[in-house]
Amino acid sequence: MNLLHLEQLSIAYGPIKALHAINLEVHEGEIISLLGANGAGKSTTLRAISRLIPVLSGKINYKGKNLLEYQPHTVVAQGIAHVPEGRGIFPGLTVLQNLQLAGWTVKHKKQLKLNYESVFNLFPRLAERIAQSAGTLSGGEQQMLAVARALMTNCRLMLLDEPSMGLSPLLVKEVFRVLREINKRGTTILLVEQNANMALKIAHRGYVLENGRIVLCGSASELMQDHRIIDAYLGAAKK
Amino acid sequence: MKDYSNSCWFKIRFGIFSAVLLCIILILQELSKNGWVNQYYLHILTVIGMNVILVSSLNLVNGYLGEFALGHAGFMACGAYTAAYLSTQLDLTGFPAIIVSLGAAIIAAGIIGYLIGLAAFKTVGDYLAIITLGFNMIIVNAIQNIDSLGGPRGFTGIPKYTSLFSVAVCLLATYYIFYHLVNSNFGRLWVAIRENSLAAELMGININQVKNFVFTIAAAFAGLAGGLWAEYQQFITPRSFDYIKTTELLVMLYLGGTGSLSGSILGVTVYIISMELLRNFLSFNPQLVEMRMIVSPLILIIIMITRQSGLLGNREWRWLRPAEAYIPEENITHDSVKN
Repeated sequence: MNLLHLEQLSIAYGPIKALHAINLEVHEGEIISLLGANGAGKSTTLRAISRLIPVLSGKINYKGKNLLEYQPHTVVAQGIAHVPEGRGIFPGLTVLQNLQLAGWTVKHKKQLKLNYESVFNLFPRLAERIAQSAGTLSGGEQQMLAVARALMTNCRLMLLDEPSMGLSPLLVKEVFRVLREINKRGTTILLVEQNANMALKIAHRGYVLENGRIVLCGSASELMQDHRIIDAYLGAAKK
Repeated sequence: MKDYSNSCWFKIRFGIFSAVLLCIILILQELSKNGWVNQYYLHILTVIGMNVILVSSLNLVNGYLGEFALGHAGFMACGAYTAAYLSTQLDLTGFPAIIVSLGAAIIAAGIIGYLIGLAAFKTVGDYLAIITLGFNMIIVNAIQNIDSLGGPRGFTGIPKYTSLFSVAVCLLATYYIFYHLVNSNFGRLWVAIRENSLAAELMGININQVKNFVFTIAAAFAGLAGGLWAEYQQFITPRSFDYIKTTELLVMLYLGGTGSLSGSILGVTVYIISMELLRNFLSFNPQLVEMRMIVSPLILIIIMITRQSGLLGNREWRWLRPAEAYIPEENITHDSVKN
């Protein structure tokens, strides 16, 4: 089933066009990787979906609704959670308070309790550090907290912006393991990554952005074999 | 899930503290009638009390919410003139008059604050500061040109309703409300907006609505302080609510420390007492007395260089801290040693 559909989406920052009429489809239950170099427009795509930036032309359909009619805070209630680049946790608040704020929009107490349970089940480290202020967590734990916060909003679609940024290889592996687990539990994931190797390993399908245009798309295994991907992102070691 | 937000202990503590404080104040007031206690000291305490209401309400916006609003004296003016007008025009005396005039002052300043917030929070940062400063000037100039409010000559003949006791009651009520607001989930939302407004928005929070709510609350309490001020001085002029008053409030706020309810008490107390001490100290030469106004900016400069967060930035005195804060602090040191 088509969960999210971007049609001919164009975005400009002032006179500079960042996205040139891109088409992108996300099906229910998938992990989609959006790859590309710096400045290709990956983060811009995510920011457009969560309505943080205005759209020049094109359509964003989510579950048959036109997302362009929504605002950033109402998009969340539709079940889209965006984990921004650099994690965006609240360092002065405790882990619990971070999670409480994320559950702000969840109206049903029972649902909220379920969310807490699944979050602490996925991230036992966070449960241990519940009363600790988020700024004192390690980088990996902060990333986990950011993902946990997204889960607290009861999302069906999670947009992740560079979850591996600034993490050691071991922690990156851990983050991707958790993402796969979250996906298995029924959350669709749209993942923006520089680490193409890891991203394609867990993804079902992938898109490659270059200068604001989608130049390649296909299943993850196809992309892993594509010589252009290997040259540009996976490096010579893979040959 | 363990629920840490147990406010029962605070209620008991706060109740006992209020009762003791109000008793002491009643005794002091009785003693001062016989001349046993100098009226001057009671006057200083009253001024401190009113300024603490002003500074702590400004703290909600500039400290907890992390915006930089510059028009707080304007809301004080709204409250002061509303209270002054009603207490002279209405056919009421005594207790009902106090309640009606102060209630109207709160509502009037709150409404003005809400409307200004609608416009001001379309921007952030420096622009917000300039817009709020502009509104402060608009309010003062508008009052100056309304004849029924006395115009530039000021408003005279306001009955004296405010005493140290009523200021203390208002201050305690203010702090009771602020304590619960700041330590609620909703109050943490303000801190979240301060620390990362983008992430707060991505949590599904309408940040403009929240900001405007906080701004309205702050304005309403500034209106309360203004009403108290008018009924204490019995004479108000538009000039006393211009940006100089706002600046004075900012000095007291940043001296005490932003994001801290205790900081507002400390900042106001230190500032006002040091100003009065300087006045006495320099009184041998009348020309030198006005030189004390040089000292307050100097204090601010020193604070900004040596201790940007103020005396008590983002920290609270133990008795104003929520009970939950005791548990995590030990954990933090314990865990960070382990890592």
